[in-house]
Amino acid sequence: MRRHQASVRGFLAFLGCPSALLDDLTQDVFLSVLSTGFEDRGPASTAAYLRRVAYHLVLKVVRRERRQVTLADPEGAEAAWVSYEADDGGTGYRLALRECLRRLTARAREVLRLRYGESVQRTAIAESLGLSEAGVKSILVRSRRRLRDCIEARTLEGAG
Amino acid sequence: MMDPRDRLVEYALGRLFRPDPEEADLSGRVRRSWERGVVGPDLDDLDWDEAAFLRTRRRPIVRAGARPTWPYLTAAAAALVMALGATLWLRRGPAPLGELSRPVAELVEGRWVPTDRDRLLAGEPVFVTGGSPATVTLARGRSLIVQPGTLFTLFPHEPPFPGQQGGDAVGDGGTRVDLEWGTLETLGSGASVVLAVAGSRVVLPDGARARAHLTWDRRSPAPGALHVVEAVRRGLARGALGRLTVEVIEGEARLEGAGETLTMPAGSRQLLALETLGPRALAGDLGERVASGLGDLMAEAERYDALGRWEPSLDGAFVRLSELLDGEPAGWFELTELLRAEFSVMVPNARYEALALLALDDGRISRELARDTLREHPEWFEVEHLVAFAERDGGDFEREVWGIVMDPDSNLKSPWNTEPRDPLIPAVYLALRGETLGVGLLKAELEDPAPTTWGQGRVGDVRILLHRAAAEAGLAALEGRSPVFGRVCGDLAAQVLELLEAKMEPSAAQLALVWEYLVKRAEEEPGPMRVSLLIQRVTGYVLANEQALIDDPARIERLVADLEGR
Repeated sequence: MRRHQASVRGFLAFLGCPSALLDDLTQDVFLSVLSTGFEDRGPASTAAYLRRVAYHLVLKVVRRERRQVTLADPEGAEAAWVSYEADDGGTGYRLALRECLRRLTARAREVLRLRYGESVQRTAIAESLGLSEAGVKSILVRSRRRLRDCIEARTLEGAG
Repeated sequence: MMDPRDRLVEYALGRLFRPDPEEADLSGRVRRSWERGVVGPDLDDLDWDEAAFLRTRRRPIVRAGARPTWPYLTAAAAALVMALGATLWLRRGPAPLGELSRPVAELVEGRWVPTDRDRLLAGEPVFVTGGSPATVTLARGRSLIVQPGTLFTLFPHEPPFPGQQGGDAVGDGGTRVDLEWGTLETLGSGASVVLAVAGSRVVLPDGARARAHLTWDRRSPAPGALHVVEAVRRGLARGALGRLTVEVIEGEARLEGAGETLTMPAGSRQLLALETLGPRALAGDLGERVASGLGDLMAEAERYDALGRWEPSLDGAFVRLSELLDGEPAGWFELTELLRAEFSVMVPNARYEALALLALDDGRISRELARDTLREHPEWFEVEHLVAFAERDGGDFEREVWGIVMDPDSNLKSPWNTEPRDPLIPAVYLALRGETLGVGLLKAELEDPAPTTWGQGRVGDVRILLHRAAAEAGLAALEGRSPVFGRVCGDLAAQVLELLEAKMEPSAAQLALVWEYLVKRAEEEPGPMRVSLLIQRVTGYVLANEQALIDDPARIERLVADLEGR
């Protein structure tokens, strides 16, 4: 469990699990696995299995609480997470992200910091930076896309 | 829906800008929860309110990262009490088992036959038949009245912890409760004795459902636990207490019904057994008759193969049991209890037939039970059940269908089996209701040339082909587009040829007959047809003509040529 719990917890957060539920759902993932007669098929399979269970649990949370959250399809989420974790637990991805952030404008970096570092709502960001809300949304979307493309390009370079 | 890669960027930005403090090691917390018997909830089967309640109850007990001293002191005190209790128990010796006031019954080859108290004392499950309760006189002057219709087992041992009482689920259908004097286990239709526990470890927040408290104190499989929940609810609902509402008011589990109010104080260590009276006596006898009726049905059903069983007109016992249930609606509860209990294991087709009854009946009780059963055990339902249920119960069923269609993980029973549930039949249903999504799903499904999702490679399974062919015909009929039949014919011809090459002549013959019927129907009876009716008619036609076609291989060839020519 010590080997996988950080990954499971991260995967849950990636799926959009509320932070208040992270520990509880992580526990539920392992308890569910224990109660269903888990069969160890190696670390990779175990990790995939745990993620599948985690996805399932988050899906139930979203549906039963009628949260307005749309989950990625399981295959897409799995593929994205595997690319993130790679063999270093996501360190390489975050390093690439740090490098790619430098290529953005200062204003875009500030918007991203406020949104994802301070959890400030878009309307508040717009007010503080003198932008329209649509402008903030546009910056966020474009920045995410640029970051994504940049990270993937760096990953490909690294693989090559 | 956001691209997962974009979501990944979001997640990584969050980690970058706001690194988590060192995450707590949850392994100790999980281990302690597991040892305490807190089983991972199967959220498929739990209302979220209940799941949230479980978490609120769990959190204060095991808090990640905290190292208070009081749990160790409490554990030490508990160990001392246990040791003292064990010493006393050893001095007094095991409690002798009691007597039964009258003979009970046991299940033999699908029927209840009278037996005697020796069976009970040997630890065998026994069934209280007839119209009056049986009194079990237990050790130390205790006694327990067991209502008719209760299937139960008595275990001659002390509870594991002196003074501790708790509900536990047993297998697929019952409640096991450790009493001070032994263990009482009710199975199957044993809802007449309703057992609830209030203990100091149980926290009852406002709005929680008291029935949930029975199951989570001790290690138990989730499906069984849910069965207990149902047993409690139904036991209360059909008893003399009338339609009870179970809710928690100001920290007390209050069970209110017509004419009686029972209160279970929070924090007390007592076992509350609600014995339903009056009408339950009738239900006991009724349960016996329903079990016999189901046994008769099984005996008749064995004469038909898988394709023939769906024809209710073929089964006299099917009709007789339907009439019994029409006359005495309470029998539906007995039927579903039997469906859940080991009866279904002992008699393999019982579940299929019982679900068929539920799906076909038009009464309110059967409708609600069918919906509940579908929600809890969708894997029990065959496609025929779903179709019949959908057409009979359109409005209420729609939510369930949507759940199946929209949730690709709804059958995530095995983590290694990630194959999504086949949405073909729900799609047919939605299409017939004029839902654009249903038509789209149906078309998308039918673009897949092989029945890969439903049968996962079992190409020879003719039932799969039948259903797919019927679904295609249903779509064609729905849309009134004759060219669709051309494509259907081409696909069917290819499949028939494939089966012939694989030396699967009976399957090829059946499939060819499906086509023959569809063309015949299109020519003689154009227009939309209910899918369930279509399946029934196709099945009947195949059964009537199958052997003749197998005996005449040249006819199959002519049929294939005709297919290809269309």
